[in-house]
Amino acid sequence: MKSSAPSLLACRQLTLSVPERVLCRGLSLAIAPGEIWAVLGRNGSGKTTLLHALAGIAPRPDGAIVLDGQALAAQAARDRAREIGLLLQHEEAEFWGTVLDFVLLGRYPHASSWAGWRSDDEAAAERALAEMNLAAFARRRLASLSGGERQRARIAQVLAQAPRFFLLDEPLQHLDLVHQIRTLALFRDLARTGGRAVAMVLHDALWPARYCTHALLLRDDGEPLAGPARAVLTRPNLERLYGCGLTEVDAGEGSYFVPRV
Amino acid sequence: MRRPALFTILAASAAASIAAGLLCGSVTITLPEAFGSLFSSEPALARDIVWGVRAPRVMAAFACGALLACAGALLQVLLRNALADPYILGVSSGASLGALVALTLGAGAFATNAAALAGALAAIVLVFGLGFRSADANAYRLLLTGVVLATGFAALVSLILVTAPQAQVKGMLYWLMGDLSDAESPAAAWIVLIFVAAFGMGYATRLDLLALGEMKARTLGVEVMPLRIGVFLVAAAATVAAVMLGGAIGFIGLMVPHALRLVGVVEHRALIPCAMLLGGAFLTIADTASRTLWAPQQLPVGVLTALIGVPAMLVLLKRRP
Repeated sequence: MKSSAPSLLACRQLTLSVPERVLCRGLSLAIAPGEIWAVLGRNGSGKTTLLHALAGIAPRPDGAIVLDGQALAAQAARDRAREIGLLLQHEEAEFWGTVLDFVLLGRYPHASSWAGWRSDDEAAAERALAEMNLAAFARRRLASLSGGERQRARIAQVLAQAPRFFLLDEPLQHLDLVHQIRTLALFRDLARTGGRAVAMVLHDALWPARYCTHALLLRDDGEPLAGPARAVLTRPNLERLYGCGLTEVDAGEGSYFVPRV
Repeated sequence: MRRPALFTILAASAAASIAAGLLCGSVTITLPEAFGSLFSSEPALARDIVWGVRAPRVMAAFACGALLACAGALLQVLLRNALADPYILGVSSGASLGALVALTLGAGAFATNAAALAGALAAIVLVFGLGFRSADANAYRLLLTGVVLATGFAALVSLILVTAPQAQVKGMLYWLMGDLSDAESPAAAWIVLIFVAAFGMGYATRLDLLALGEMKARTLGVEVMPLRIGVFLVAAAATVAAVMLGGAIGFIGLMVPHALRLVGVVEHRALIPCAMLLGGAFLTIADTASRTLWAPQQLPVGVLTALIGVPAMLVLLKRRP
């Protein structure tokens, strides 16, 4: 039944709003395997609200969210969590256990709750830790890690979750340059060869052009702009988005933008 | 500490505490005497004392401690607050209020217990109705609702104590302090304990996720609202069962889960059973000490749980880097 429908995570006529303010009206978007979407916009433009709606954890989304042709709201929470993984921008609570315990919790959608973790759950968690360069930290307490290391542990957790759709809210926050590149390359490979789809909130005018196939600009006028990265990520579009002047720099492997200060 | 080693130590402590509770008292009885009396057909003093008098009290103490420790662990997750204990949601102050109202009216033991149960259930219904009112799962609303109602009940309890005739006050104070000398039949508490243990183990991973925050739990596929309601009701049932046995005995529900977390037991799959063993053993030892140290006087057990627990907890806190 599922195989006949196209493998897509889509929203139709979605209105994003926070109390007393509409951020974006009539947003229609479809994210397909192999695609990497950059979600760009100013602070408070609705990027996080959009990812929460697409992940199915917004209380009452105003519009339809559809996964593989079926309404997301009709699916069981655990089934949904096997398909869609959301990296939260901010985590509310402190975790008292080890880094490995933390990453293992990403396996909950796949695990049976009585029997504890199986060996394939542990293998997935250890693989995810290795991918985030954290294998040596597995037995350390999560709270003893630095901010960037903790961010890598959180990315490892969503990797261990192994969803088909990755929704990443500011995945690069706190990361040093080499781990920014490592993270972006990892998700690009997951999209290109692993058949996964990625949508990530970025705040950089450099990475989207390098690593993303598509871009969504959430603009202050409430009119979103979505499309292939090459068409959307132009100097006029980005200048209008951020309201500041940009200079286009040709880096040989594509151009990118630096702010004029 | 390694997990199996810790579990073995806790299980051995639990067994030792139960043995001590059975054998210690005004008449000291040896283990062979205690078990020998079981298989002899002649009337024996040892059998009456150990199996008729002490065993129910020891089983009550163990169940009560285990229930309090579990309720504390569950409520610390539910309220996302390290200071949560079984009494924070007003269950025990509701029970106290019910019991004191009954005592004021001159009720007997059975009616007093029934009134305490009614008070506890009324507190649960009130906190549940007000704290879970809206669809958004808000731990602060629930926490504050519980604390506010508990404060209100406590004020009414004080009012009753001040206005009660002098002769009744001592009995009332004994009810309030919490002790196990009136604990008669621990069977109901053990049934609740088995149920709480099954819930805690079956939902262990979901509790781990809830401890990470409600949003996080939802991203990983936990239905948060039903889980929170379940945790609330199970913790409330555990607290009611413990309060009906021993009144409000402090320290265990707050500190036992923290003591275990300090030695590295964090996941609920291990924390729940370890908390039951440690809480049960701890209260059994404290209760045995409370009735033997100063015999024939009985100390309120809540005083001893604090006197033993406070230094132990301070040592653990200091040890932690």
